Amino acid sequence: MILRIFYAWLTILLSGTLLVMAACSKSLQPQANAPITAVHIQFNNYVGNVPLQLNAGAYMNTAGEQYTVSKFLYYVSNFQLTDINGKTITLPQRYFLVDQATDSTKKITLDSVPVGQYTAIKWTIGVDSIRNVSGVQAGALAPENGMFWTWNSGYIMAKMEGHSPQATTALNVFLFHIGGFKQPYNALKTISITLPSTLTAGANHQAKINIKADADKWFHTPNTVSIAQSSIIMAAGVNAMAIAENYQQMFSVMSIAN
Amino acid sequence: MNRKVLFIVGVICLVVAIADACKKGGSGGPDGFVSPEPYTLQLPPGFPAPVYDLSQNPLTKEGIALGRFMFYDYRLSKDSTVSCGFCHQQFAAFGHFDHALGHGVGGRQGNRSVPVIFNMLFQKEFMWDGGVNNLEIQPLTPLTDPNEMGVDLKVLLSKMQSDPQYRKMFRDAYGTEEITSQRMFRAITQFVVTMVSGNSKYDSVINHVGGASFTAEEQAGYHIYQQKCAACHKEPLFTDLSYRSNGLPYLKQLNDVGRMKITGNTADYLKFKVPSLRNIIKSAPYMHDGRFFDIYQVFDFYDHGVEVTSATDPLVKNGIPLTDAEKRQLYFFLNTLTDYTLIQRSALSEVRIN
Repeated sequence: MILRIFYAWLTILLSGTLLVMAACSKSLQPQANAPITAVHIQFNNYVGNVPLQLNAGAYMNTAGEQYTVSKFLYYVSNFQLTDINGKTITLPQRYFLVDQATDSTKKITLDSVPVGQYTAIKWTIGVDSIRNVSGVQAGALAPENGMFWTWNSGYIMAKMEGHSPQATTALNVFLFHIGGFKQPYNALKTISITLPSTLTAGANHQAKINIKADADKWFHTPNTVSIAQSSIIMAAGVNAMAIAENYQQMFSVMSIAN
Repeated sequence: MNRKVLFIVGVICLVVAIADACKKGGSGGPDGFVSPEPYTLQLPPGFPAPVYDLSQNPLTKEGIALGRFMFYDYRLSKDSTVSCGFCHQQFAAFGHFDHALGHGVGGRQGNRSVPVIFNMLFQKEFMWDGGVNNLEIQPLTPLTDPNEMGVDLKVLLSKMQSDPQYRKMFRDAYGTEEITSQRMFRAITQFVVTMVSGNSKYDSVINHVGGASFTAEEQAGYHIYQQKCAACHKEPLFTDLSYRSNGLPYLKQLNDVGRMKITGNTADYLKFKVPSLRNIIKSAPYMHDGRFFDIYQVFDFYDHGVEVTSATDPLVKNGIPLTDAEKRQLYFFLNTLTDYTLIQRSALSEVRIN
């Protein structure tokens, strides 16, 4: 009798324990609807058809001005993919700061991509307005990255600095700090690219998109930008908007590795 | 039977223990870490709701202590000479006593006076021109401005990370020793948030505390204030937080265009944020460039010194006439706005940095 009661209680005990443990493990692991995988994007910064070389490379823009580049950085965020059925997948909100000076920042990983086939990609260059007004952010958005205006709060969406004999500043420096999140000078731009071939994001392999970013585009198409005319751009406004419209055109897909 | 009871108790204990272990595993606290103690901020009666979102930065005793330590740590500046508290002195209601313009490392000087920093959690924009849009990022400006603390944030973070005392204080406040700019700024914000001023004689009179009442001169001064000052210096914060040009003559040496620098709008030329009148007698000098060291100079300016431009506020275009008797009464009233619990509270005072 005692033994039978013992077994009965043992059963209750074990099932109770298992229930608690099950509830416990469930709360720690989010349920995934579809299998997910990662897709890598490699940003390759160029000037025209030559890879961008900080300080070393000498270039000429469409206004006929010679220039070198000492800093080249831009934020990319809010990635979306379009699958072969035309459905848009919005990936979890992540922010990346691509910095020409640091190779590791040029390869980013989108780590929550549903397994599938994709025909187009979309992202924003810059930091959306809500992050511009929500206090101190972490990671790529941390203020020590030097991409935040302290005197007039807001992110520098993209930055190019360099030298040009045509620059009107004392040391021939030109500084293009492009930002602004309020109308009419909202410099946040969306990039939309149809992929040249289908991207296959498989469960067991990680696909990679090679993207070219042509820094020279900052100076033309649709707006001709002259270093002599505006050597320093460090605030939201007409000049920043002109460059933002230009760099919106700087990305293209070089190749896709499935 | 006894054995059965013992067994049931055992079972319950085991289940509870597992559930408890599960909960602890979820919160991810390191061994030996004691959760920081929540701190409840007492807000003065009749004050507006805080603008700063405290839910994203819950106040804790340890967080406030860390913020206070950093606020008074001169090592946060480029050459370890000035702290936040160097310019924001408690006895001057966290303004800079006797200094017209803010100054910082290497004897450098800025071009505006040090603003008082109490009741900050009720403000949505900061600085004289409102250029800073969140209380958390406000310290970024004085820390990195070459005329103030002039520090490189990356250098500062690694310097702090190598300091055992900071590692311990960050661990006490946040659970791990990791020192990030977000943690750092949020802790400073926690301390600044506690600089609430709403306990002056004026408040006691208005809230009928302990039978407090104005003297005849204070009462007369209050009436003058209500008629001639309250439209901009609105109760209970004694500022409506708007930007206005009060007709203060432009100084070409400083070439400060005010809020126009932020908005790019010519309508904002020479506009500055209306400062609070709370603790005003303790926080001389006055105006965005600290040009007046005595409150009577301010009275005289409004009486006959206003320089009208297209941007000058209609409320002061014709000046604010004040007789000598009215100035005296106004002075006595303004004295009732001094909050000794702000300027003497030990929880806000300087901490010794070794």
